[in-house]
Amino acid sequence: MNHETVTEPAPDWAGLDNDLLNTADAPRMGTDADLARFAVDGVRPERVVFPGSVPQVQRVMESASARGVAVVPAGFGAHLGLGAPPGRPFLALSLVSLNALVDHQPANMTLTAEAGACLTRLQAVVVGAGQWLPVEPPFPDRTSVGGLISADLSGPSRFSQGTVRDLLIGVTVVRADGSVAKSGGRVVKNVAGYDLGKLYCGALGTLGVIVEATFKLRTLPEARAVVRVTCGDMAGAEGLLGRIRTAPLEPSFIELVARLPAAGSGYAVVVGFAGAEEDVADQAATLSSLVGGDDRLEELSEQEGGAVVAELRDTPALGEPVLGLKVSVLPARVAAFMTALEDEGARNGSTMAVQAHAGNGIIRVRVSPPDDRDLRGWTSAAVDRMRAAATGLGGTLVVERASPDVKPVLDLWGGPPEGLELMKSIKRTLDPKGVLSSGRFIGGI
Amino acid sequence: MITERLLRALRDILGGDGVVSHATELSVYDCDGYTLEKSTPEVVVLPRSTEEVAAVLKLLKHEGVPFVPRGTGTGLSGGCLPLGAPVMVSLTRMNRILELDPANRRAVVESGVVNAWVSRAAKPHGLHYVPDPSSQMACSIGGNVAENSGGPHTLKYGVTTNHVLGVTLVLPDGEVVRLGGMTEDTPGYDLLGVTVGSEGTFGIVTEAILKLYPRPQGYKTLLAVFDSVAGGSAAVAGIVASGIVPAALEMLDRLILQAVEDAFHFGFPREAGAVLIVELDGLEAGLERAAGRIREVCESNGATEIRVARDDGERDALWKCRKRAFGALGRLAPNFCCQDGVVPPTRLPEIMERIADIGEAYDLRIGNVFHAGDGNIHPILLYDERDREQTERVVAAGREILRECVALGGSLTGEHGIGVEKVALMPLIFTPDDMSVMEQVRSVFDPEDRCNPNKIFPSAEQHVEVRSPRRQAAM
Ligand SMILES: Cc1cc2nc3c(=O)[nH]c(=O)nc-3n(C[C@H](O)[C@H](O)[C@H](O)COP(=O)(O)OP(=O)(O)OC[C@H]3O[C@@H](n4cnc5c(N)ncnc54)[C@H](O)[C@@H]3O)c2cc1C
Ligand SMILES: Cc1cc2nc3c(=O)[nH]c(=O)nc-3n(C[C@H](O)[C@H](O)[C@H](O)COP(=O)(O)OP(=O)(O)OC[C@H]3O[C@@H](n4cnc5c(N)ncnc54)[C@H](O)[C@@H]3O)c2cc1C
Repeated sequence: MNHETVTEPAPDWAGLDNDLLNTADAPRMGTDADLARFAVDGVRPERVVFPGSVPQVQRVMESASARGVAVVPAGFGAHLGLGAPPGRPFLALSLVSLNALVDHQPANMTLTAEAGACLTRLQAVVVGAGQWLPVEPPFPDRTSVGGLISADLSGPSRFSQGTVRDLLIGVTVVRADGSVAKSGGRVVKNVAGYDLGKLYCGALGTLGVIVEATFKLRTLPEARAVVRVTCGDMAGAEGLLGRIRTAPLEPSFIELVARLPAAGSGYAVVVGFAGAEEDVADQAATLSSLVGGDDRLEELSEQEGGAVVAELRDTPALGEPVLGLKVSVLPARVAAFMTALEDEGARNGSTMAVQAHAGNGIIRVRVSPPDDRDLRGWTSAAVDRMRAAATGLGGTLVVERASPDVKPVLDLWGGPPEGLELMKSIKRTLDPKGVLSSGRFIGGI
Repeated sequence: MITERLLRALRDILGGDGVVSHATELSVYDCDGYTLEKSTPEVVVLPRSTEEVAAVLKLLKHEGVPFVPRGTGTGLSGGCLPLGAPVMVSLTRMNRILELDPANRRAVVESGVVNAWVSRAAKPHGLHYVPDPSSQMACSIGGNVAENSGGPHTLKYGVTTNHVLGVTLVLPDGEVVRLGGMTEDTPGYDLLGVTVGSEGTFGIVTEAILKLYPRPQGYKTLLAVFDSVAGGSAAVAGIVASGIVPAALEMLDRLILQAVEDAFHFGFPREAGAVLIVELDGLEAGLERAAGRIREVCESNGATEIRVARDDGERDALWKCRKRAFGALGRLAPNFCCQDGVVPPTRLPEIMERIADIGEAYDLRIGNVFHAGDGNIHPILLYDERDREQTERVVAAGREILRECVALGGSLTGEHGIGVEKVALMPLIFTPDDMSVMEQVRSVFDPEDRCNPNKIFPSAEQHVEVRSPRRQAAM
C-alpha cells in the first residue's frame, strides 16, 4: 500500500477557515503578501497561518487532518525549495510567531527554544554567556530553529562540531493528527526512550511540526584563526589536504573552495583553528610549514576570517538562478570528485562554484548553466552525469536547489536509498493521511 | 515453545556448535550485569555471519517465535534478559574487524567485536575509537550501539551515536538493511540515528561502521581530593560552568575509593570524602594553562590536595582503577545494583545529598562512581540477594533516586538504557502520547513485537506475566 496512490478527498478549505477563525483563540492568518512569501517552487499556498501557541498549532493540524488539507510547515519560508514541489494545494504553517527562548542554562550548557525562534537572535543571547550553538546555516538571520532541524543545515565547522543531529537533545512535535509528542529531554546525556529527534533532522517537515527543541551548547573559543592557502591546481590542493590530515592539528574546519573553470590559481584550502590562544598560534605555524612551494598562504585577521566564513556559508545569495547540489563522498575521494567536476565543466560549458567541507567529504556545487541552452534537458543530463561520478566513487548526490521550471524533470535524490521501505512505513505510520509535506521528500514520501 | 523440529532447523543453519540448548550451559545466559531479575532462554544460537543471522530470523519469523539479541551481557538494565523470548541470539562469534581505513578514519566491524579491540587495532595508525565504556574490555560494539553507550571520555567527544556512521541491521523478518553508510549525510530519514539506542528492539545489528579519531597529542590528568562529596560536586558544577570541557570528569566517593584502594593499591587517600579525576587532552600547548584553571576551580571549592599524573604509566593506572571500580565492589557485598540517572550538572550537589538521605532512610550502603561532567550519576546500591527484604529495599531506593533525578530536571538513564529495569518509571518523563509515537516507530521495524519484547515501554510490562510465566525475578 502506497499512500501516493490513494486518492485524497477534495480539501475542505471553508471548513478549515471555520475551524480556525470561529474560536476565541484564533491563530493569525497570513495576508496576500504572505502568500507570495511562502510560495514553494513558485506555487503559492492557499492559506498561511501563524499560530502563536502550541494549542493553536494543534488546532491547525487537527483541522487540516479532518478537512483533508495538505500542510507545509515553515519557519521564515526563506528556503522552502529544498525537496520536491508540494504537488497539491497546501496550507503554509509558519512557526515564526512561536518564537520564545524558553530556557537557557549557561551553567549546564543547554538551550531550549520554540521552533520559530530566529537563530541569530538565539546566538546573540548565548554568545553573551560565552557560548554558541555550533551550527552555521546559510543566512542565520532567516533561519528558524524548526528550519535548521528540518533542513539539516550545516556549515564549515561540522568538521569539529558535528551537525544538528549531534546537538539536538530534545524535541517536541505536533503530529499530523494534532497530538503533541516529545522525545529526549533537557540534559546533555540521556538514553531514555528512542532518540526520535534524529528522525526529524532533515525530514523537511514530513513527520511532524516541530514546536520546541533543546540543544547542547559549546563554549566560545578563546581564540580563532583562519588560514587561506591558494593552490595552483587540484593536485596541489590534494597534497596539502593530505598533509593536513596527518599533521598534529585539530582544525575547526577544512574547506576546499574552487571556481570552475579554474583560471590559474583556482583552488583554495581554507582552514580554521579555534581554542586556546597558544594552541591556535601553534597550529597556524604548523600549517604554514606544510604549504608547498607554489602555494600562497595568507593568515587572515579575525575580521577577514569572519567575513570569509560568512561568505562560505551564504553563497549564493537569495534568488540567484543556480543549480545547487550536495555531494557526499569519502573525505579521501574529494579530489577525485573534483577532477570529475573539472571534466564535466569543460564538457557542459557551465561555471561552477564549489565548496567542500573537505574533512567530511561533503561537496556543495553551485552550477550556473550557459544561458543559450534548453535548460531542462541540459540540467537533467548534467545532474545525471555528476551523480554518476559521485556514485562511481561510492557517494551520493542530492539536488538542493533548482529553478521551479527545471525541477520537475530532475531526479532530486538519486536512486532509492537503502531502507526506503522502512522510511515509507515510518511516514505512513506517523502521518497516515499524508497531511505533512507529502511527496516532497525522497522516494515520493 | 521450542520444539525439537525448530532445534533441528537451527542446527541445520548454524551447525551443532552454533546452538546451545542444555540447561547447564543455558544458565550462564540468565542475566546481564543487572542481577535483580533473571530469566533463562530456552535456546541460545551463535551465528557467525549476517547471512546466518538472516537465516535464523527468517526461520523464527516463519515459526512466530520471539527472540532477544545479546552481545556480551554486560548491560546494566536487563536489556538482554529474555522475557517472553525463548531464543537468544548471541553475537559473540561475529567478532572480526572487517576493515580499517585510516585515510578516511573509518573502521568496519562485526557487532560482536569487543569495544577495546577497535582502539587497539587503530593504534598503529595514531587513531582510536572514542566511546570508552568502563566495561570496554568486555562489552561489544553491538551492545554499545543498542544502548547508545557512553564512557568517561564521551564528555568531550560525544557518545556512541556521534561515532557510528552506519550499521547492517537484520530486521525481525530476516531482511537485511544497511542504514547510514561510509559517507556522511546519506539521503533519507536518519534511520541509523533512531536505531542507535533502540535497545535491541529493531532487529539485530551485525556490522557497524565507526568513526575513528586521532589520538590526542597530550594529556593532563589530575586527581583532586575533597573532604566531602558536596565539595566534589560543587567543583564539578564549577568546572562545567567555567567553559573548559575536560575530556573526562569522574567522581569517586569514599566507599568506592576505599574498595578500589584495597583492591588495586593505587595510593588513593583512604579518608577522603571524594576525589575527582579530571583529564584534559588535546594539543600540548594549551594544556598547562587549562590545567591551572581546573586547579583553581577545585581549590576554590575546597580541594585539599591536587595530584597530577606524572607519566602515561600513572595515567593508565589511574584509569584502570576507575574502570575496574565495579570489580572491586565484590569485596563490599555479594551483589550491587548500579543506577544511571542524570541531572543537570548544577544540581549535582543536591542529588548527591538526596542519595545519601535515601541510603539512610532505606538503611542501605550506597557508593558513587560516575561520569560527573555530564551529570550522569551512578549510585551503587550494595546488597545480598539472599536477603529478600533487603533486595526489595534496593529496588525501592533505586526508584526513589531516579524520581529525584527527574524532579531536578534530569532523566532516568544516561547510558544504560531502560531495559526491563526502569520500564515502570517511563511515565515519569513521557506521556502516553510521547510513548505511543515511539511504539509506532518500533512497530515499523518489528511489527510483530518479536524482537526483544517486553522492554522499554510500560505497555509491555503489563503483558510480561502472561507472556513469560518462566520469569523468575529475584524480587
Ligand atoms: C543549499 C541551501 C541554499 C540556501 N540558500 C539560501 C538563499 O539563497 N537565501 C536564503 O535566504 N537562505 C538560503 N538558505 C537557507 C534557508 O533559507 C534557511 O536558512 C533554512 O531553510 C531555514 O529557514 P526557515 O527557518 O525559514 O525554514 P523554511 O525555509 O521555512 O523551511 C525549511 C524546511 O524545513 C521545514 N520546516 C520549517 N520549520 C519547520 C517546523 N517547525 N517543523 C517541521 N518542519 C519545518 C519546511 O517544511 C522546509 O522543508 C539555503 C539553505 C540551503 C540548505
Ligand atoms: C563494570 C561495568 C561498567 C560499565 N560501564 C559503562 C559505561 O561506562 N558506560 C556505559 O554506557 N555502559 C557501561 N556499562 C554497561 C554495558 O557495558 C553497556 O551497556 C554495553 O554497551 C553493553 O554491551 P554488551 O555487548 O554487553 O550488551 P548486552 O548486555 O549483551 O546487551 C545490551 C542490549 O543490547 C542489545 N544488543 C546487544 N547486541 C546487539 C546487537 N548486535 N544487535 C541488536 N541489539 C543488541 C541487547 O538485546 C540488550 O538489549 C558497564 C557495565 C559494566 C558491567
